[in-house]
Amino acid sequence: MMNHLIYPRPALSQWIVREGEPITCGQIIANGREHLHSAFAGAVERLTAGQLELRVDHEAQKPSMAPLEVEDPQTLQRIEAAGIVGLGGGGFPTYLKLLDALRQGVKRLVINAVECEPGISCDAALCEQQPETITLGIRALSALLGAEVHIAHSTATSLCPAEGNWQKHDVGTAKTPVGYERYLINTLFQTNLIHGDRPTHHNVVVINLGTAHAVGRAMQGWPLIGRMVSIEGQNRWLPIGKPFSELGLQGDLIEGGRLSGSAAGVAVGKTTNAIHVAQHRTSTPCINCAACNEACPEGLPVAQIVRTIKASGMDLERLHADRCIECGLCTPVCPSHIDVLAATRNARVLARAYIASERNKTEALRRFTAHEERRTQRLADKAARRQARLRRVRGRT
Amino acid sequence: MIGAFTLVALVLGVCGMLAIASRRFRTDEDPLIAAIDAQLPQTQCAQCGYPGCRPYAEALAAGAAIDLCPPGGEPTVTRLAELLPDNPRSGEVLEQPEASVAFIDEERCIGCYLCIDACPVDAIVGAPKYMHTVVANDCTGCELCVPPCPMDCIDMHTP
Repeated sequence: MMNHLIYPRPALSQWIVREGEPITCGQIIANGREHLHSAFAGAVERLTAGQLELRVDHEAQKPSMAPLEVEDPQTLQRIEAAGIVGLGGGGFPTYLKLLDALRQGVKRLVINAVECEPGISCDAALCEQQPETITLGIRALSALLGAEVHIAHSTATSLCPAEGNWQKHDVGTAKTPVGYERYLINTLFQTNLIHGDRPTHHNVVVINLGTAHAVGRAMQGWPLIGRMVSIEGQNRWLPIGKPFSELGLQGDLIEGGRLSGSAAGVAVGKTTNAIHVAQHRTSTPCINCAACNEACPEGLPVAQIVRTIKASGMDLERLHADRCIECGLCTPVCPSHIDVLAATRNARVLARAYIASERNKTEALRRFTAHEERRTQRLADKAARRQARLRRVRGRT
Repeated sequence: MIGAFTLVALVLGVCGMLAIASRRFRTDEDPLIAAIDAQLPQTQCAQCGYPGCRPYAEALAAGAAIDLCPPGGEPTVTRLAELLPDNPRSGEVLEQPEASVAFIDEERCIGCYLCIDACPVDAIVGAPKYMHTVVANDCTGCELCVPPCPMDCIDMHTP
């Protein structure tokens, strides 16, 4: 059987294989900030700067690393080597998050098993099918951080494992966005984290249940080469790199939950938690009903942001468009069927770019001022030395 | 008479103190120039014909054309037009260059320190006779380090 796997290049990482090169299962094909492994054995068929296409020759998989004990000092290195990133959708390298947690001395580990978005049930499937691997992963993480374990789950994921003194928190029937990291922390610990607060600064680190499962697999020797994906409600374990075209779905695809998902890429990636067929609705002009403002959990002036979308990043920053958490609650409430989320997402990018450019400007000016001061001082010193020398020479004659 | 004399002396004294204080705590902050400077991209690239963003801001306050800053591009022109409605435009088409950062070919760098001196924003690290390198995050892409390099080993890369 001949098929292909497609890998987009991870951010801040480089390909380390060449076109035509034979690849074994679990071989590292890109490294840098994030390791990427091939899911099957085969050969690199096509390689561009942004994408690698792998021809699969053997569909057999085996662990590419030796198993580790739970309290092994190599745990963090293993998590990095296995290429684990936040599987809830963030995609941030887990070893960097844990490194930050270790530096801050974080003692509360929250396993986020709250699947609050409609259409995603991959974590529930993992709880049902592989609870031992999840347990192993949580044990490894808890031992690494020396932290107490809190498991936040919804009714759908109530099968999630718990042992010893792990605390389970039931959030009930999860409604978007209760599983959003910051909101979840505030619910569990009665804290008041706001936009920009980092959980590690509040003695908490949140790890997605799928990520904990991947850590468990890494302890067994598996790199991150497969994941559970909800396809139109059905959960399937798919190899990372599986092209969406081979899933047998018709129409435009949406990657992620029904609310916050976005247009699908080409293949299953590490953060692909669900796949849906897009339901297109024809939109009519905005009637300024502000239903989106009411729906926004961050209290943003969504209608204004959407209307300002063609304006500059400066205006969008004034409307706090950068604080959008992309939960997608604004879209279904729109009576004009406008894709509000697409607009706010765009606005967020513009606002963030503006904030970054302003910060760069201030930094450049600060460094320029320092540079000028040094230069002036140097010239003044030089002139003073010259004067002193002249005085000395003239004094001698 | 004495009362009037004391009053005059007092007024003179206060004036003198104010004069001393104003010289002592002198600020050369013209609020208009500061506001203009805040709109400029602070690349210090001198492509406007003035030796930096601050000098251009001063020239703008004195009536220079508002469309001389290529890194700022059209958004900067729009904001300057709001601040300075009476300033003219030079009429030339302003092409905003693609954002780029300098890159030093470390094979060829001889550690001459000339680029480090030339960099207005301290984005190049290194020491005399040691290899230099550009801190990409801090580089504003002003290209001022390119001409001084005797080995011609600095290129502009788009990130």
